[in-house]
Amino acid sequence: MEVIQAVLVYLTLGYAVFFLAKKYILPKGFFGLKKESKGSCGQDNCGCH
Amino acid sequence: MSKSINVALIGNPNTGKTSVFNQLTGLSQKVGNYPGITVEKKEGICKLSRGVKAHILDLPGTYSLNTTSLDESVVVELLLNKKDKDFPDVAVVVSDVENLKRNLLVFTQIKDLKIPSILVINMSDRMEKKGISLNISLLEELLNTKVALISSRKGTGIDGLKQLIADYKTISAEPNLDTTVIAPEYFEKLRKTFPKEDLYKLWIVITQDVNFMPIEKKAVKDTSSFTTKSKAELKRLQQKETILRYQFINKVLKETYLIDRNAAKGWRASIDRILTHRVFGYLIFLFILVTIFQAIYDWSSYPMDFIDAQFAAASEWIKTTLPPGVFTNLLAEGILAGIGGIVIFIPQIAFLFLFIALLEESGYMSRVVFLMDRIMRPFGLSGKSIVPLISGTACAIPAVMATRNIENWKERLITILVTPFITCSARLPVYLIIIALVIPEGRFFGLSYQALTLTLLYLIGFGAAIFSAMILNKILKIRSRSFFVVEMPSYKMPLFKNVFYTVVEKTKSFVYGAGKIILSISIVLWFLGSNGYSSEFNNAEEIVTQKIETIGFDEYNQEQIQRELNSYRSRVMPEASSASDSEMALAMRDSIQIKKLSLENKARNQEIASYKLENSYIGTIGKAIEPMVLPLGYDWKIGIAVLTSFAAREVFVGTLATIYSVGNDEEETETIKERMASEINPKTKKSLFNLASGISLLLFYAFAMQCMSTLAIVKRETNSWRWPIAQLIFMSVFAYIVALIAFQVLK
Repeated sequence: MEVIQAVLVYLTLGYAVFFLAKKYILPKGFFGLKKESKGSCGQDNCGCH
Repeated sequence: MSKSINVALIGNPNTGKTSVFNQLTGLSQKVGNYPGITVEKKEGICKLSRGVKAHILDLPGTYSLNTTSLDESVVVELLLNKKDKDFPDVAVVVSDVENLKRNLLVFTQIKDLKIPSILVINMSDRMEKKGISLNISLLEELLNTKVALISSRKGTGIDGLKQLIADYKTISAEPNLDTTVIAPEYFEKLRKTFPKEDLYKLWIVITQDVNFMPIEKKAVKDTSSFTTKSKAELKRLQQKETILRYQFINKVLKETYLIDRNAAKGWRASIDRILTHRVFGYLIFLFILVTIFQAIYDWSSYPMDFIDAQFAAASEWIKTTLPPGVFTNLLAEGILAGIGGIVIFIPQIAFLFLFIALLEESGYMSRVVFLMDRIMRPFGLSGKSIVPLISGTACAIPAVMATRNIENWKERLITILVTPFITCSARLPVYLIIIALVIPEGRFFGLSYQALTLTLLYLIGFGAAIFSAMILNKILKIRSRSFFVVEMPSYKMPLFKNVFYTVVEKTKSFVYGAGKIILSISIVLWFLGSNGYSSEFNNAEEIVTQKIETIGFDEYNQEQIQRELNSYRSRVMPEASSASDSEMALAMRDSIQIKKLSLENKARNQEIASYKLENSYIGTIGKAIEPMVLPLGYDWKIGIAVLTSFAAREVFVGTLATIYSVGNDEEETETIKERMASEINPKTKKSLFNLASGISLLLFYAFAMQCMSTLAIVKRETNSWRWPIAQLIFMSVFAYIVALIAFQVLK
């Protein structure tokens, strides 16, 4: 039972770390995650600035 | 197989477009962003007759297709791009019966793009009050369309609108006007250069900054056989087009729209005079704010206490029911404590959103915008900035996005930079828990000190925003001109359905958005708090037991044991001394001895848990940053919470709940608040959350830029890292200095 509980803890921890890394650290498109779409914003004519 | 019709909901702001959207889609809505840009996109499904479904897209409000801001250009971009998956089969143009003339401008433009368009005339319930009568069949004939007369507030006419959408193929796609008459030669040249393209579409492409695939504005400019006009000439032509449209609209309305001024019963002007008064206007607004915060406190205390107790009980249940082990501990001390730290604030956040929705729905918020314009001007902001600033009370991210309707770049940049000072809902959990711990529960003229403190924090946030705006206005050397036009919608009784949807949607997105981050951080924190590499961590039990045997318990624990023992003794000793039976007296004395052993055992476990936590990974990190937070009155545990809440402010409470759960080895059911209240500063031996450290924390969170998502959105909106980095450094340093001064003065 102890081993199972330890495995569950490490699986949960791994998922939590991956989620946070994906959200704040890894660039978009890493590991085939959804790429940031190239829209009009940021271009000369985007109108935001 | 079921078919799906693409429907675009278009219209001027304040025409009740969102209410129509809610009526059509119910709760089957999805909120996202347009690809590549952060303008909110609302989609929903509406079931029509014969198994047909309509995919409804609620587009940003726009006065015309001659756009001035980015969110308006979203509408044009969609209407010009037939290849877009959302390109409408039918456009539903929502108008307000009281402002039909102005609303018809955009309708005629959409019609001229040859898109089948339904004209929805909303707020029909106000027609009688305003003395308005309409000849619908003639209006349909003159506009060459179908008209739906509805009241989204009363829910009337919605079925008819659904039927019109289902029968959209019968609606004419013929244009209302021939725009080429404004410059026949110019349009003739245009026709010859681009024979396959629709002229009105080309005209729209030429006159604004949107891409129209496959022809782009650049391509039109670069075509050697065609010379485009100068910007000033194009503007003049645009004005001619608008005049032409209004001539047409006036002619149509002259025959179909009648207002009997004698029948109109108007009290709006009198109310407006009071609500926008130079003195009373502000006093009324302040009164409304205080009332809201008082209600937030008074009404939500019961559900909050209930939720807090349920989480404490659930944690206890997990510990006692599931097989003992690390995963059980993770569930009880990490996951549940972390989630509990956010779920507990649902009642207060829902009440806040409820009041904001009521103010918006009633039409009062537009009066606030007007009032604030007077205050904002001297600080380099305009009344338009108040919309993002008020949205900032929910979340800075949509608020920063909302600055897109500010045409003036300098005003927009200043608004983006100061919006994070506004008290957002993520600050609320931090404020509420700290206020509950350090501000007494008394009342002043019927208003609780706690509610007044919360109001003050909101005002401090607003003050910081406009003060920073004033500095930025002086520093930033950007030349620009600005104007401010605000539409005052009619006063309306808020519609329960709309308010309900808004509250549910916003609360849900807060809880889910923050919940995932908090849950993940809680899991990582629990792991770091429950594990360590040092021999001190691994041999904590022996080390602490040996220390207790040689030098005894900590001073605080000794006092605690003595105090509780005295209290117990005073309760049982009178019975023992008065007992005639000597055996009874002996039993009483034994019970005191048992109580002492139990208290010592509790203190031992507490010291072991505390020692382990201090030597865990998180303790090591916390101790490393402690010198930085000590002058502010915080210990290493609060330091860790401040550090983790850099990702998102609301993580603060969840972090403390997790750390205190790991550091608490008691089997008694304790709520988060109780755990925090019992925390003792090891150096001063006094309560850790006292007035000085509490005020210092409140001020730190009032000014600090503790939100990575906001930084990311500021980078995106300003197209540079320069502004978010400057914002982060300024806000963090300012927050630190203010918190330091507050603690040093109050301690």
